[in-house]
Amino acid sequence: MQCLRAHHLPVVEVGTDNLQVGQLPTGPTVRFVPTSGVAQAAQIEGQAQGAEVVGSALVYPNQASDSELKVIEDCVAQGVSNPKVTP
Amino acid sequence: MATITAPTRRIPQMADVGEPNWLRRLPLWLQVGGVLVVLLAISAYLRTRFISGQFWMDEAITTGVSSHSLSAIPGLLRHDGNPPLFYLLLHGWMSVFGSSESGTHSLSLLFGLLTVPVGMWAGWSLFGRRAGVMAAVLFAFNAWLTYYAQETRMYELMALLGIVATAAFVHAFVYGRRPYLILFAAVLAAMLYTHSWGVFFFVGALIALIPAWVVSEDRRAFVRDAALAFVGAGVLYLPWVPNLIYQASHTAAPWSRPPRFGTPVLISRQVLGGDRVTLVLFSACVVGLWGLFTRARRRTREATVLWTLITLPVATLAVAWISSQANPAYVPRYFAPVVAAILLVAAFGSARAGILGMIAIALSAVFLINPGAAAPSTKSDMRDLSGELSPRLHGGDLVVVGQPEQTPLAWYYLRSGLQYANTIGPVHDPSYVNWVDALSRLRRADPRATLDPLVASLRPGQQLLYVRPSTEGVKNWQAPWTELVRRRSAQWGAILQADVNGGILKVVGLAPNYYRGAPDIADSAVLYKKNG
Repeated sequence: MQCLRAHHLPVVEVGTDNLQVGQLPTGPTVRFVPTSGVAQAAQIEGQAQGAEVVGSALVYPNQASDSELKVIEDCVAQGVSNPKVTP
Repeated sequence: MATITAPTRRIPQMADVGEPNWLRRLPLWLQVGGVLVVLLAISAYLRTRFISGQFWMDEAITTGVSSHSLSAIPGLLRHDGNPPLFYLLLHGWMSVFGSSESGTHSLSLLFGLLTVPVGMWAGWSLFGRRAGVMAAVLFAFNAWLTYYAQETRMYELMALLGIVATAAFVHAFVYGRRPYLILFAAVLAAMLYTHSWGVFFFVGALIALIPAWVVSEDRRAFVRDAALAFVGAGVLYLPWVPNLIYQASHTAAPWSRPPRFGTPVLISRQVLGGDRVTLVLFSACVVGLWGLFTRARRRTREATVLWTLITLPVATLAVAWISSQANPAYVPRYFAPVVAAILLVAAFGSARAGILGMIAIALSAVFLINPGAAAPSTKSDMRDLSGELSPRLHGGDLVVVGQPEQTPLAWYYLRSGLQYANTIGPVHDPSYVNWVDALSRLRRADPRATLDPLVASLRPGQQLLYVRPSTEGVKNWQAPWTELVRRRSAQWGAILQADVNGGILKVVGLAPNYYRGAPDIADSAVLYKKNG
């Protein structure tokens, strides 16, 4: 969240495990699952065809631009690689 | 009055053991032959545990390129980024042994086994019999060589050539044995024609001339010999240089990232086979070679050999590392040219370390005797995918691959008669990858504008198999190319899902149903059928 906001992206939490950047249907959605294996299984089972698996996160690009997605992917990668929460 | 002098600081002489009398009584050819037969048998066992294992994408690309005619191969490689020697050899090999995994792996296995006698020759001719035998043991068990002996790529050939080039280099420039100049020039040229890291070895060898030049008695003759050898290799390589320049400016490895400072760890774990092996061999080298760093022996021939063998890999890796900051191409499988120098230093040091050296060599062999330790496990799961879905595919069905460089892998394993496309667009020849400006072409390829016509081209009842990479490993997908591949795969998947929701397509199959893992890149696939 901090990373995304630092890049001035309009991100909001949706429930406990989703982030929405901008508005649907164009804005990307990030869904966090318990492990990277769960994310991978969702892809293998065809349940996340429209998502990028980034560690334990599923990033749905929707209609976002490459430049915006690059920022989101990098922030998510940082988040799932270093899950420490700073106060 | 007695004077007290400070004791000389040196490593105490190590205890040693010689060969048993019964062995000494045997003729030399029988001793050497016996050692080689035993080592080759063990090495062959270690290096065939995965001989029929499934390809990953690089192997499929290599096999695909080599399946073309000899005259077509150099032209295809202009778009791929590699020089042609291994592909030409593999073409001939496949005409005899076929293009199966085991058939093509066996060429690399042959090169891997040849490193044992050639390594023995290198160690023996440079440092004597004990070092020769120790070198043979190290080359027979080496983890890096074991891994790539079961891979249809040029790395094992490159390592074999690296042994000959390294030994010839030392013979020619440190010992002044001029006939080796020709051998060095010829093998250096062969390395340049085998892998692009031959260029880094070329520059590394130029730098490694310095220690020998410093102690040379006739520096003018030394420079003349060096010029002859390097210019000779350069002239032999000249016909390929236009391709190299074109490849360097158009087909860089966009999947790779600039290296940082982990090279010693990579050498310890990937080249030598683990920190335990590194520790014992390093200990033996310290004991065996320490004396060559003392002032009294610093300018001896042996010390010069040591400095040359240290400079050669360090300079080669340093040049590759610096080059890779701008144009990343720095992964352990490319370390082939320096494997020889590293193992020859280990054999040299161990041979001079008495019983400690023998223990070090024995322990390093023990640490690597487990066939699973260095043998690749499942490299990809494309064969599994094909096993599940090929029977359900029909001629004319369309295969769309999310990661363009995996297209040849899908082509290799799926049934014949299929059409191919990837996220850049339709693919007319799926047996190779056109890397020319691939990153900018992928950036420009709008997903909907590229995919919609492909779906529209299918008749009702025809099928589309969408194969995409598993991207859960975060660090593997952070290079500009891989990041975009991951994104495009999702965008294409989303469009296909929208087509399902819109009633244009329906899902009729998924794979893998049983995923057994793949350390390189795994894939999953969805089979769609076009509705009437």
